Amino acid sequence: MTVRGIEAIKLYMPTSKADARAAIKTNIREETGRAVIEPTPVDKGQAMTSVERYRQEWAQLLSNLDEDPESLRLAAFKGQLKMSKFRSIHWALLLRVLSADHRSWHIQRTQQRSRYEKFRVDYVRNPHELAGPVDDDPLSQSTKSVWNQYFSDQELFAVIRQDVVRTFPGVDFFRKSLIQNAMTNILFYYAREHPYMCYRQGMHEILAPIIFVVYSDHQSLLHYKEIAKTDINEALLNVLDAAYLEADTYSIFSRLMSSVEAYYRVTSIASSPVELQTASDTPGADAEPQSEVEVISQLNLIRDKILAKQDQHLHHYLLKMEIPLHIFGIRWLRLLFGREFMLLDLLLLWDAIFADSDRFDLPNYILVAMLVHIRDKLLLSDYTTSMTYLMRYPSHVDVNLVLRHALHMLNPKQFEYPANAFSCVSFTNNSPASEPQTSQQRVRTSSESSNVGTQIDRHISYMQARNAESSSALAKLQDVNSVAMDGYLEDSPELLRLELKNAQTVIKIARNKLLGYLSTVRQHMGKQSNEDLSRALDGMEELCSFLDVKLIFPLHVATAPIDEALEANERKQLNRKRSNAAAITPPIAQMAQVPVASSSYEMPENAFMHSSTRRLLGDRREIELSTIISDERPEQMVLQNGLPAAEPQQPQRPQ
Amino acid sequence: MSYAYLFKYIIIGDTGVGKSCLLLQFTDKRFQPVHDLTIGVEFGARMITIDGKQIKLQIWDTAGQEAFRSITRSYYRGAAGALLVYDITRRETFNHLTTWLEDARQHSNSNMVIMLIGNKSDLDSRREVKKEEGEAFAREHGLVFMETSARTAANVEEAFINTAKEIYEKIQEGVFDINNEANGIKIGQQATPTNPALPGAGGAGGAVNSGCC
Repeated sequence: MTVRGIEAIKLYMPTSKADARAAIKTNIREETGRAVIEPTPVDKGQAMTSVERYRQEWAQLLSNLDEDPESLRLAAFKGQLKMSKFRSIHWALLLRVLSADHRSWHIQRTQQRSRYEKFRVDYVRNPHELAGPVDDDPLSQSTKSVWNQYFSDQELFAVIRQDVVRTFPGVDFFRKSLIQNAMTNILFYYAREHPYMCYRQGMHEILAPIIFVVYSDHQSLLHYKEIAKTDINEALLNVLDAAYLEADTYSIFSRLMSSVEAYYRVTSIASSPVELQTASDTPGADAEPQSEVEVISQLNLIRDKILAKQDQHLHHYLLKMEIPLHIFGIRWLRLLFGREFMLLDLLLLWDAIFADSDRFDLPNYILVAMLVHIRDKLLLSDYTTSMTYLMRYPSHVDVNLVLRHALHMLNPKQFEYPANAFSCVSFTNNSPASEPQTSQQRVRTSSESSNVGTQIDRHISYMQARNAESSSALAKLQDVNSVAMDGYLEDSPELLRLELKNAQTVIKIARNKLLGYLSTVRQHMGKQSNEDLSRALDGMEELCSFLDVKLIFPLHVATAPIDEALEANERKQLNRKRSNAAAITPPIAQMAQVPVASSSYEMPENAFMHSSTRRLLGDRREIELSTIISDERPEQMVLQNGLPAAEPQQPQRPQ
Repeated sequence: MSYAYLFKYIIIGDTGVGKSCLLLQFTDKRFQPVHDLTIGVEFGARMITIDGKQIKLQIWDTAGQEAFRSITRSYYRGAAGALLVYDITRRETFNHLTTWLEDARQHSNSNMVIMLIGNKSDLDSRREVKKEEGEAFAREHGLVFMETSARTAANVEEAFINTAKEIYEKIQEGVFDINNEANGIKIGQQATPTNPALPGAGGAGGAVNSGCC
């Protein structure tokens, strides 16, 4: 969970909204996003609608359960639980903590809660207060000794506590002692209840999103109760009774752990000679699998069975760079991607994971989709940069795209292939036509406009060289020339043009839709506008104008040569043939000058990005405003959009 | 920037002694009072200069929990240097040093340079382990010793750089077989064009390409 996840947490809770605004600077995106979609209850008039909405959602949930329980699963896949006030119930249903028969929830909850209550009696036994057996004493080493157990429990408790206080540093929600105590208790009881698993680092971050969701639902109900006052469903009051935060969280947590415990399991052949032999030589080399750690075997399986099939090029690259999946994958899986996405996005991912099946196949595909999503970054980077991308996964990745791609790989029949699954996530800060600094740009770009035709040729020749590289790399792996993996393999300019056309269509649709939404919001907003909101809407309009473009060119084409020039000290990831190298040299020489020339114009563009686009999109830059160079109407295009700016080398993940 | 050598490091020690904070201070020059727990392993890299030569440090920061020791072990073998860290305010982290050291010696190459680090030296009021104790332990086991503070950055640079110096000296003395990758050392571009497949080691081709611009 990144810093931006934190904002989400605070925003999720109506009660702490005020401090959230004070404490967080960059939360405007959530703030506006939320304000637009769902006005939070500020004044009386709006509060009533939120009560009605709450009541309606509850009624809808129950009727769905009666008529079509499967619809819940679909809703989770489609990301429709995003704004749900009953997400914890959805999760409980998907994980079968609660059954679809909502009339028996009362009984089920009672059972679960009394079971949790029993832990307290069973596992917290203070020998000081007990009249224990005569043969027991504080120095006893017997496994049955209450004293012995008491001391080892104290130790376990301290170990858990030490990690719990470090849960999501900087997230105020997890600094509350109420939450920390609850988490420590839950993990402690889990460890005692599952001695073969005990407590392992990482479990606390599996627990964290759950307790957050349960707590949020409780808060929503309390809030609703406060406003609605009367006529509140008894079953609802029971199933989301805030008094049982620990017990209800535990039920979901222990159920989820049973599905992910394989990621934590370490078969102890510790220190035996066998283990010595199987341990790999270097952190990089994983030729010899470490069979004693299940998660590593699973990651190797993911690499060889899924990744190899989906993206041979990337699979080959990771092997060649000696980057085994377990370097980053252990954390990805063990925390179910908790550090890789901001919280609201993470919850979306979890919705789908829980909805899939008990076997938890979806995470394997999510992992692959995440890799494929940053493939262009990886393939064009040296070892250190690749490692940085993997260890600090880029924060502006579109979670929906990753999820849809993963779902498609998991079940191609049910889920469509997302059009741009293989798209590059990188982003440049150029091209706004209505941007205040265009006049400056114009001077510069128009002087170069005569070169545009040749520039495109250079781009294409670079693309061709790159395609040739890819092919040769692949050919080495095996004879796969006929496999058109992602378009890069084919060497035809026609295909390139097709890709451009596709991209253009996407942008066009995005623009039209955005305009449509904009006018809807404007209509509904009426006169009671607030300043943030109208600024956001203006920003949206501005964005629409950026999207009014004729042709785009894939970004990585422009940045790739620059990357290479800058990464001189590092080994290139592809064994380049001399002839290829020669073919690339001219574009490098030309391209390398571009960022130098444009660097003086970058600042205002960046500044602009901060003030407007970022306000709307945050760091989630799924809309790719890449450089626009047209071979059809060069003058006009360049006037509007300028030349490529250098992509930042290593985007830092905000801590 | 080109480099003459690449050294691989590993950072080991109990949970919460400040391994990740030391790395963060060294690579990013900042301190995070509460750091995310390391799950699996973390990675960091930085360039330093020794004897006028550029040396790239590639640092693997490991998880401290006992249960995952078997994963940590796989990182020992490819390391040229190890930072063995304890917390001067928690006696038990000092007591566990012997186990860590045994583990390290058993699974690493015999020339690996081990630096013993007593971290959190800024918290002198809560000190449980005397500096002399750390020195004595280091002397007894043939380690280099230093007290550091990731918070104030005291001795952090020194800890990483002195370790590199030791490794560098060992290379000069011919103790390390630099052609054996398992020793955690790789040679930069001015030597050994024989093995371009080594990550980070070759780069000769790329250098030629970019040299012209």
